[in-house]
Amino acid sequence: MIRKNRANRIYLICTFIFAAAAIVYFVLQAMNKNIDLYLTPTQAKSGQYEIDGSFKLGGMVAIDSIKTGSELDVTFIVTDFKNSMTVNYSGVLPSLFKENSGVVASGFYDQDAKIFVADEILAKHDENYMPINIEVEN
Amino acid sequence: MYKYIAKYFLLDRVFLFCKATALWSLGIGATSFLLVAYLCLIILPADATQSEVYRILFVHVPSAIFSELVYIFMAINGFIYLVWRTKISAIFLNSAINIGLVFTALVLVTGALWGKPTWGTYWVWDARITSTFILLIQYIGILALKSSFNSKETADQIVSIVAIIGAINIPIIKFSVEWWNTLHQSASITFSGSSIDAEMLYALPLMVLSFAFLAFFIFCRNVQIEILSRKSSAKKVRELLNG
Repeated sequence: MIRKNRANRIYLICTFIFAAAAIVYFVLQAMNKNIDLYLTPTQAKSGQYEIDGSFKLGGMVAIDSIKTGSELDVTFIVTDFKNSMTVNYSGVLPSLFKENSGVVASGFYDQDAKIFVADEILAKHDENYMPINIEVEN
Repeated sequence: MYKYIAKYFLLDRVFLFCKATALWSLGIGATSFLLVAYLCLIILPADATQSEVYRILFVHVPSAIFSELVYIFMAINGFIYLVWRTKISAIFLNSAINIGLVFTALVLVTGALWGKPTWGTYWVWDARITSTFILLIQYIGILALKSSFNSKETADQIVSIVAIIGAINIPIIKFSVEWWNTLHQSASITFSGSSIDAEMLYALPLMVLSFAFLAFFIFCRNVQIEILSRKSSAKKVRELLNG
């Protein structure tokens, strides 16, 4: 049997945990849009988010969409398989940047040219780990 | 039942158990760490997309697991201490703080070193990284709080409360990659299987195990120090050290 004062302490602690969890939940709800590191093309086009200034755009690099221009210029399409956005970038790309793999671009959306002009590209690695020899056999 | 458990957690008994097991734990941990490190660094094949850099995983993932497990352990002990006022729980809580701090620092550092060659940056403020950074601050805060009171009993109570409330961050860290868009990838190992190839995966639990032994060594030593520092007289300390 748990003595009465101990039971009371358990209730008290549980109440505190519940209250603190509720506070954290509401704070996170309020900040929800700011916690996302990037917007997907669908979110960016939905009009619910401010995209006048600079923001980060994330998604997959569409297959056969990478076109290299002069010098370090590169254009590619970022897609979330519902919507897509053309991205223009000039600079060094991370080594994991490739087609059909995740990417996060920071920059701004050029409303007239309908192009996202990026000044930084980060590659997003997925959760798959494969030995190098298996990849070669395939 | 309470009496049955309590007799195994008498302070002197715990002290002698820690004294007896600590060095064994260090020996097993250090040996297995060296062997598994050789396995991870030399024997295992390179990753198809990240090549050699992926090997950081074998330090990063065990550190991440322990940074959270140690906190859960602290919160549970804090809860037990507040409800049952068992001194040993407070000692366990206090002994775990710096271990969790080291693991959290390690997970952030290895993550940053891995991030530069793969993502292209050391640091982004995404949900997973930020919440882990908050965990680091929690550990630092608790460590500072622990020694900020004249009375050990007050310190134990305050530290317990802070540890319990701070445990809310643990599920946030765990699910941050699912709730929000993050640069950090989602979990590779879930209940439905692993997306790490079996050829590399088996080294990971071995590494977790050797980390556990090393952590347990430090934990034992911390517990010993905590118990000694709570003894009321030099005579009792001498008795315990010689006994």
